[in-house]
Amino acid sequence: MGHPGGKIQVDHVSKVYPGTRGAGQGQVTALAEVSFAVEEGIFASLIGPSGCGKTTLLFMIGGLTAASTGTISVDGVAITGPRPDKIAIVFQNPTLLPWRTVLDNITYGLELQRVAVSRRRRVAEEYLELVGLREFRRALPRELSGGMRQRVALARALALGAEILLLDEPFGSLDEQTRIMLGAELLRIWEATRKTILLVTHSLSEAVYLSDRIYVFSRRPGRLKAVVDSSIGRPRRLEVMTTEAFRTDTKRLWDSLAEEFQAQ
Amino acid sequence: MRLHPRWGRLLLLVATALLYEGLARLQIRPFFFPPLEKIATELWAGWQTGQLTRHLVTSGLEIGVSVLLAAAVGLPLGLIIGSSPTLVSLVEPVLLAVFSTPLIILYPLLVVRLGLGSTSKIIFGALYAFFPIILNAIAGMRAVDRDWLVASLSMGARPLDLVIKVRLPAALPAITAGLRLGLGLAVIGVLATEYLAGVRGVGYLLQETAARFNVAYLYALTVLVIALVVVLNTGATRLEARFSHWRSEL
Repeated sequence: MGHPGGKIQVDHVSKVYPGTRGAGQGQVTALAEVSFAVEEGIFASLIGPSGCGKTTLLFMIGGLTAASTGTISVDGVAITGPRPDKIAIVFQNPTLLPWRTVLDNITYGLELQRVAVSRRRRVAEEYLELVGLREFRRALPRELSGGMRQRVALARALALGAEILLLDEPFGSLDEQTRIMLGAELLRIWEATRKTILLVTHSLSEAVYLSDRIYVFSRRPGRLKAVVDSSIGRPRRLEVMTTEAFRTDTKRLWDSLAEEFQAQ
Repeated sequence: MRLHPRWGRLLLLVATALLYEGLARLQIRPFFFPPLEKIATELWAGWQTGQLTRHLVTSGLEIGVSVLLAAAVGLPLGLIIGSSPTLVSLVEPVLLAVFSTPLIILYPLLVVRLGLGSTSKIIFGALYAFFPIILNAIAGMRAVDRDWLVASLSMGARPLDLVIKVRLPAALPAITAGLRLGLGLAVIGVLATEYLAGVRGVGYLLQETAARFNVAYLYALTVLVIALVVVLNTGATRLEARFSHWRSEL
């Protein structure tokens, strides 16, 4: 560990949205006093009922939204805006530029980073290969399936070469089979690159299957409710989903979340 | 055997010409239906004297300059207005309201101010073309998905990057559509004003030919102008398609 606490340090972070004047509503607290530290190289997940502020928290770590109170730092440096050198983000929607080919979408981030043309092509080809879309390099996003688009978005994020990968329900809109396959692919990529990954998800099995550590959030205002450490070994293959350890972890996670659902 | 649509269209054209020629040969109203041969002769005569070319060039230049002028003003304004929702809600209804009035009523004012020469035609053509160009530029800027901007920011985009790499390419299909519509309106604007009060150009030539009751030449000019506009529009549509290929066909 290079820095005390961890790679990503979240300190007493809250997010308060001002109320809508016309509707006569008061301010809304989306996230209340959240603190935790993510160690370098681990795969961590944020899980909780919808509206608990987990996506907001991810956006704050990514420097896209400011925290109302508290601080977030990466490698000991406070986050005040996007840090593409350190942090890459995969969004809920693939957010590909529809007029660019698959390859040009992957080079896009490097282009914004003012990387030389020859280098960004080489890097893009490498990640295109990694996500298995080499033969689609010249295709436009609209010619791809939802799962393929999200793989392009993943390649684009990986191509930035950042040590931290933030994933905001990247497989949320995909069908069950596709999301399991992509989850397995993500694990394979993580094992090959050993990035620090923070995944927002609402799927228990996805969280259990992928993570070393799961942060469980309460209903709004979102508070960090529990931290579930995985008891499943590495490397993991899809078969772990049928093991006793997987069932135990899922039950622990479910017990923690069930209170939140029942309280609704 | 299936006929290619292109040949089908040609066949339709030939059939229409033959039908016309038949009517002309029947001599029902010989004054209104001169035979095709006479029409062709008149066209050839106009071409030979260089008179036709001169008027075509005049109108062509007037149309070209008016579209350029309309684009030079309309595009930047549209792009600026389109990037601010406040400005859009302020300006767009006004533009739509003005555009829905018969703008030709402004032409007498332009003549009084600018005279009967090319300038009044160019300004009117530009005024007419201005509306679709600026309205489409505004619409184009609003076609920008907020997610694209957020994702770009997360990858280190600077404000200028957002304009050049996201906003402009996203708006390009609408922008080219606006230019195509503007070109069509500039043709109408220039020819109509030449016809109403002019001394040069194809519109003037049509008016002058009609006044001389040279029906055959009038037919020739009409068909020629239609053909030229069709070619122009086809070119513009092709250009537009080049910039819109990424949009899903629906």
